[in-house]
Amino acid sequence: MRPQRFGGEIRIEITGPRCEQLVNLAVTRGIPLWDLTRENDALRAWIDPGDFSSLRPLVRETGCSVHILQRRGFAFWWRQFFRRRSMVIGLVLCLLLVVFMSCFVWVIEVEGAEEVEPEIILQVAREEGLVPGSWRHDLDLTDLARTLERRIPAVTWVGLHMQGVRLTIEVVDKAGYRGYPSDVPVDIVAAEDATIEEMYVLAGIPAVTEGMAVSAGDVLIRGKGSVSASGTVRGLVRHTGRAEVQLNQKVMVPTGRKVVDVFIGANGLQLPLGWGNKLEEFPFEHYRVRREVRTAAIGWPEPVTVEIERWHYEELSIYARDFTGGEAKQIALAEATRRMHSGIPRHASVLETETSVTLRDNAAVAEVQGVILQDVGVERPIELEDDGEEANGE
Amino acid sequence: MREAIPDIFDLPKDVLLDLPRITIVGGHRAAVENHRGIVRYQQHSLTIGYSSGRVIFEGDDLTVHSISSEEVVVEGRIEAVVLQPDEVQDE
Repeated sequence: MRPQRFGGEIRIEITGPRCEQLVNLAVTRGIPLWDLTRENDALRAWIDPGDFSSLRPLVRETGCSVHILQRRGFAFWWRQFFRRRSMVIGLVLCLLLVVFMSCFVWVIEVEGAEEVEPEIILQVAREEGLVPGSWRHDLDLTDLARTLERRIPAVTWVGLHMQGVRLTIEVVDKAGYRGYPSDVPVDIVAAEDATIEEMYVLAGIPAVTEGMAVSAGDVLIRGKGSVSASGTVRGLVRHTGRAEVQLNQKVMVPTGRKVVDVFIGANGLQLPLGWGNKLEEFPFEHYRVRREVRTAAIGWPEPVTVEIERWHYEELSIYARDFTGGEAKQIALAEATRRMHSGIPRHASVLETETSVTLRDNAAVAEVQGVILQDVGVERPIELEDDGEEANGE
Repeated sequence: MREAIPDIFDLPKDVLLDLPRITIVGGHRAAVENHRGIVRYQQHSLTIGYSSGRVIFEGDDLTVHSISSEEVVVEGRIEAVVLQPDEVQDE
């Protein structure tokens, strides 16, 4: 297969008793032909579009007839394209619209916020004028980042990155920050029942010693006057995970059949796009539902949030499944371990675990207890009585 | 005399005597230089003329890949090539 010519090419069909002679005459006049084939009584060949009119005298001379079967190539496509004026105008307008729309910020997202709710950061950003639909060239990202750092005490650093129409607010928040402004003095108190293992006091008076058992809410490091307590207290905390697995179970397995219902909504109004309530009979007896919402800000200068809501109904088939005692124990143990681990905070280490699995009442019951070394201190504003006592002491 | 000159001067005969030069690549491509055009093109045979005769390609799916005043390139499943000088044809 020969590559198509940029200027295009025409497939012609030559019919008549002296087809070969017409081809020979064309060649002697310098008209190139290629991919010549015999199709019953006719000859077919490709020819340059510019040479087609030169064939006319040869057709008369030989008594053959020539007609066009096919035109192909970029040149033809291009010509046809520009003949459709409204399409060209539409394309140009579309391009202009894309360029224009890309001058706005449409998506704002927060990355790296672990202690602070991203919604709080977005709220402050909104107050500073950063909303979906903002004219991106008006935004001073460096200035805005410093403002956000100043206004949100829980973060130490804010970086703003613009990629296309997406603005990412990258945040590094203060480790252990519990949400109190820096001018509110705090104590450090126990978050849960624990045995104190390590204490590093940076400011304030230690209220407990290593090895002491404390209950949730007990003061660990006491702040003094307007000085906040500061430091790290690590303790041993017991975490328990329990799970129970019945030996005779009904297992639900997706069959793969599903229907999706779609709604579009804005400003509290919702319009069904899918089958909605039109379906007389719901197709599945057993099913599970998953809701998926996508939002987009549309409009300018006051964008409206449009929500596209999809409800996925997935058919389930239910069958009875009997587990052996061993299987049920294994599943229960895995689930109990997972539940125990899910309660452990970050930067904690599991020192020891104890497991017990028993079979009773036609079920396997597993319990996993772990001793975890973790941060147990949380900040709490100094109570008024504390201030009173200190005032009396002075 | 005319045919002796290329031998005396060791010159290519196809140039001096206007003879065809036929190049065949495997059984699927052939090029004919010094041709005089297509004489006959049928479903299973293609006849190309030269100054003193004709060359017949027989086979299937025969296509003239390109044709110019210098060269004809034939493609397809070439099963036989027959040279028919004019003298033989006259007999």
